[in-house]
Amino acid sequence: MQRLNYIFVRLLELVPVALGITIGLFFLIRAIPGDPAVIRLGIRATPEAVANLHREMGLDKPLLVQYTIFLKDIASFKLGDSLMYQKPVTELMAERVPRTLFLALYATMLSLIITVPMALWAAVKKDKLPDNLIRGGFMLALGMPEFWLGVILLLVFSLKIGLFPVSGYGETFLEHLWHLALPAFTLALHQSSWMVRSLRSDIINVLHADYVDFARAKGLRERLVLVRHILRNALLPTVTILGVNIGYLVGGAVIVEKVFSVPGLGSLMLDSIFSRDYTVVQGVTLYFAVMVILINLLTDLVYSVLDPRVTLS
Amino acid sequence: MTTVASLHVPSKPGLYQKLTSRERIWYSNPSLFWGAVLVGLITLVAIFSKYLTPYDPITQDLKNIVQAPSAAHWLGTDQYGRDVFSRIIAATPLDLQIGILSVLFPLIIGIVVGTLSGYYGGLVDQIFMRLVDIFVAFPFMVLIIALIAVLGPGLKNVIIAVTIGSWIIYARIVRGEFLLAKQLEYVTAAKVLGYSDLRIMVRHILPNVISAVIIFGALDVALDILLAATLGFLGLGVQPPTPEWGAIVAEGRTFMVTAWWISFFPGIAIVITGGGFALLADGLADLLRTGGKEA
Amino acid sequence: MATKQALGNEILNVNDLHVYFETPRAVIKAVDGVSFTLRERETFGLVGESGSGKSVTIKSIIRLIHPPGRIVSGSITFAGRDMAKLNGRELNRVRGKEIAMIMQDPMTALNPVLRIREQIMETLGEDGSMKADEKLERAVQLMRLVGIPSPEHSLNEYPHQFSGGMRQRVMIAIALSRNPRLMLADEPTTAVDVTIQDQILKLLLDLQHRLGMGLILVTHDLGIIAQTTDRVAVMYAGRIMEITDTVTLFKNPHHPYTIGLINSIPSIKRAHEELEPIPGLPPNLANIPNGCRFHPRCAYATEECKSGDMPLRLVGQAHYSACIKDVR
Repeated sequence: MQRLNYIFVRLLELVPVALGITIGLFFLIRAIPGDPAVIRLGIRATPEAVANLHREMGLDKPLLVQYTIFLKDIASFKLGDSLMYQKPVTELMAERVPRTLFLALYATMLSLIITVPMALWAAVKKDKLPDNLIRGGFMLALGMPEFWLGVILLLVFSLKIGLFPVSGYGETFLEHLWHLALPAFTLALHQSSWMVRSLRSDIINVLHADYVDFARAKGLRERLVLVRHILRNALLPTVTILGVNIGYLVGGAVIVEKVFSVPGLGSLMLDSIFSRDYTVVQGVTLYFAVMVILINLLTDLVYSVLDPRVTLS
Repeated sequence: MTTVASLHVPSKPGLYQKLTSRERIWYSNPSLFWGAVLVGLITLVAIFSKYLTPYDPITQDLKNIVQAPSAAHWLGTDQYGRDVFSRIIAATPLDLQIGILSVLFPLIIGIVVGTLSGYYGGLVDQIFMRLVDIFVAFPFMVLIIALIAVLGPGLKNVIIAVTIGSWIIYARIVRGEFLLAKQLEYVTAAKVLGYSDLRIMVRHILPNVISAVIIFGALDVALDILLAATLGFLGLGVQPPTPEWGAIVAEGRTFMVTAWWISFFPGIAIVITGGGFALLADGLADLLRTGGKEA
Repeated sequence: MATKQALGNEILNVNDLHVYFETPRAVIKAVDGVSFTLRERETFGLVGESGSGKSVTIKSIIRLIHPPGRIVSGSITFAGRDMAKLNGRELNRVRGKEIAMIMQDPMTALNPVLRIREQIMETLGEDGSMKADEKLERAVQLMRLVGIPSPEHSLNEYPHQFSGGMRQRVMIAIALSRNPRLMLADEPTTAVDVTIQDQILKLLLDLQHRLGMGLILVTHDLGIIAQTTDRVAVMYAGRIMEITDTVTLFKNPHHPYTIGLINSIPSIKRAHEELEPIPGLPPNLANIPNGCRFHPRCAYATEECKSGDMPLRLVGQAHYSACIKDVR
């Protein structure tokens, strides 16, 4: 019951935040110099053609009116039509969202597979060679920009060795895994660099906790102690980090999508900013804001289930 | 069977015993040491970059395009015949500046706002927290890109854009520390003694806040250097022909298969710089959290 | 107090135990030559100030010492086997089943994210023979044994939902669950209120009596020693200073340190007098004084106290002391 109240209140908070974001972005994007009508028609367009297109796009009305129209649209779950593609924004997004989500989940899975064993190993061998190597290695990885890592991976594994395709998304599930392997790995490496540091430190804190000693004193097998007592507690803060990461990835990892030419939400967003496609930018930003808030809510809920000491306020 | 002699096991007479306590800080904190070394090195390169470039980074030499790394050109040449090594060196002060200034300005703004919000609480704080919610849910990259699109490309605008995008994070950290500090006893004690609010803020709480901010700031420099390079990669940073690490990587993309070195080496520079600051941040975290003593 | 059962055979023999912590700065000699024995059903007390090495001693018995600490030399013989030489699997078989331990702070000794039920049942699971409902029944039984009300309901709770005293009882329940022969209690009453202390001690002794266990009680409180133990060893700076049966220790203390400890207990009878603490501080364990460890603080120290080995010597019936003088 308390949980339901909490969820309700959090969802209510969603509204002003989303509103704030849309206002901000609405005016920001229109402040960018450049006229979408001109971009679409080309530089040689006649002033009349431009003016006509403006009327069609609804850009001839005053800003405030445009904003009210936008709000009304949202209320009826419409996001308008793309100025460039002339398709409903929702349609454009619908075809891209699954791809970005796939990439997001894929990258998250990979990052966990990398992080947990590495953090564990480093924690157990604290200050010895494996620990120093792992920490140093991930420190280097932290310093690697995603675009560069992506470019290098592409070079080595796609162009030279030819193990993975250069771009695209593929048709079947397996093909998705194959096409997205490199971008997912690029994202995962970055996420892991953060998570390994904090998980390692959490595990170290727990390794010598009294309850771990007590568990050993009870005669429990080391494996059981590891999973049930050490990891179960040490992973808690990582849950929060995971939530933040997923929230970020869900909005489309703009750079990675561009480098690997993944036709997802991120590249849509990037292209739309460059082509001044206001409606698409608004729509995707709104989606992103809502998703981030929902994922944060979900993370908090999951955390409160995993850690019984936490009470939701 | 214990003899008197075996009772007195000598402590390990390693290198450790011979160091002074100042030196021990560096010895026991490799992150701090290596971080400082790298950062120092990069800073020196940045300051003296004009003298360190064997070739002019901007003039083109079309007879020598796309040369592989050799004795003459250590890191090869790009598609205009420019020496890659020189370009990378020349880009150093740029990216370093962006990194540092993009942290400095938000830091200052953040400290001011965070202090006010954290210390006084109330309505100011409520408004602030709403702002935080909004900013946090805003897609950061999108915000930065949009801001730069509005302001136009270039060094100054990148710094402005990143400042606008990140000040709130610093403010949040500072506010958090204030909230914590407010409840500590020494603040209550100071208040009881009648110290003015400003005095309490500046002399009692701020020093503790500073260390949290410095640790985050060092790491943020690394992140902002990455960000600057990313923006350069997208063509949104400094404009050609001025060299910038990310931009060079982008230029090299078209020649990836034939001239991989153009895209490869700038990345190494970024990794070294970013990694150096990250190490430094780690070392500072260790240092400041244990109060200068070892854990 | 219930009449004591006859003590059985010797089950534990700690001989010349040395446990050192090797840090880059120095070697900390937490336990530096400790020997004692324990018989079945005996209650043995290990008393001393913080840093005397008493906790490290009993943790060593089940090898719960973390690096940089390690057992440097000595033997710990339990039921005929040297604990220091057991491998991982054998060690796990002894822990919990034959030797159990309860720790100082029940809040941190229980896993905060697991229900009590799970923490008890996982211990029972190590025997491998019980089924889930059998385990649950046994868990309820154990909760009743230690006096926790509404056991079925309490089992579903989390540690933070209990009071300190209840948590301590839960820890005792878990420790007893496999009927160990020896129970190690590391300051079991330090973290609880004085009013609860008494209950916990009574509970421990009662259970010891019923289950026929040996009990080693580590504490800094001489009052607890007086109430509960058969024999006691007084530890200081990693060594035993005096060891004898409890009654003798209080009636006829030999070592100046023991005398000092006893004198520093506030007494209602001597309410008008000042408290008499022992002057000075315990030594730095990385830099132990030569000769008798206590000599810098001892009112009776002379030249001969400043060098030499100071082993325990017989000063009465089953009464050993490390002091070379006869101060009384």
